[in-house]
Amino acid sequence: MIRYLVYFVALYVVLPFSAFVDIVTAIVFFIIIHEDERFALVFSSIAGLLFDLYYPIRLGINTLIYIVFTQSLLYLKKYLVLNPLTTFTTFIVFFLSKLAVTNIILSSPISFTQIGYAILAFFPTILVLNKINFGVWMRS
Amino acid sequence: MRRQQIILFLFLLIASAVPVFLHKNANVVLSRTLSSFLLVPIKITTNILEYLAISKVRIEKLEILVNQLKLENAQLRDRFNLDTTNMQSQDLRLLKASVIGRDPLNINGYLYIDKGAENGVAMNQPVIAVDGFVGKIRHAGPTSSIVETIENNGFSVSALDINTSIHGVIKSQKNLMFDYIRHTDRINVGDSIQTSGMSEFFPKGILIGTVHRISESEDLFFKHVYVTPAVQVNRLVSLYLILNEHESHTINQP
Repeated sequence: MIRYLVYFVALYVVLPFSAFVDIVTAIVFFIIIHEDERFALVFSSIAGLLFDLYYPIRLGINTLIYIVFTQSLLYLKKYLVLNPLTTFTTFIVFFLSKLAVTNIILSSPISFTQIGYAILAFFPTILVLNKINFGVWMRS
Repeated sequence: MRRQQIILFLFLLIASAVPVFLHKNANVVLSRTLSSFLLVPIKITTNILEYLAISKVRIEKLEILVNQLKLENAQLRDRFNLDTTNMQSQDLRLLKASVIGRDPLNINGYLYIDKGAENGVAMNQPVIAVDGFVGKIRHAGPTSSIVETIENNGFSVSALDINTSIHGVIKSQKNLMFDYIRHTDRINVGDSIQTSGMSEFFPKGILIGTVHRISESEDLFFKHVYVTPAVQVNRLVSLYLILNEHESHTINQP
């Protein structure tokens, strides 16, 4: 339960900065990889909803995208071998696909700086969440 | 994929798809309703951060104000240091006295002080302040005395220019004048004038003031040398009486 609380606290903490560094996606990705599938679905929908509310464009768009991509990754997860390289590669694919779909639907311009920051912030986020929840820097 | 997961996925998918297809106004209303409780933690945090930012600005302004007040306080303290400093001299026995009154007809000419004959005060005793020469005791009562200051018309004291060692007499007329300075004497604006010690009452080395103007006069022998007093008599709140003097007359101010 404490772990779940940590995820929600982390979500609220990083949400105001998500317009510049998309750490929310990294947290959702971490939960998809390491947590229960139902919780991952619920969390991703809440994360999408909060994103929609904090950066209002049209309610439901981000929620929908997060749910679809979470479910997709949950389906593919069983085929993945967990090591830092595959985790990172999977995240890149997950993040870029989500970003592409979001930008296509919302017709918003692509910010390469934001993409760079999100990729740079991925490993620190994963390491911190691993350390807080599982006591190790990296699980394999 | 488990059945429960599929049901949950479909439920969430439909739940999130519904607002997308809602009318724009309904979508906005729903957003506001959900924001009002889902974003409360962020709003509280934002408010706290804004409050901290405003507080920081206020603290910075207050710090500037405090520094200004400190500076002003230091300047005021400096003005009133007569009251807070206990001047001491190795050569002279000093008695500190407070100004308790002024002559209403000659406010800067005569001062009333709270020390009298019972404290060892006697006629013609020199009176000084931290900044320099003030005057002399004109009348000594049992518990209070009257000081004739350097600004009283007709007051005079023998003095010398410490830069050039030219002797003269400080006289208070309309202005404070350094008298008996010959046209040929080389005296400069800014020179300090001290008591010369050639007096029955006043010891040598008490600062009287500085020369601020020199003008040629019609007098055949002497020129006019104007002096600014070192002590501002209208600001005096306490002063020192020189009760007696020993071998050396130099005053060491703290």
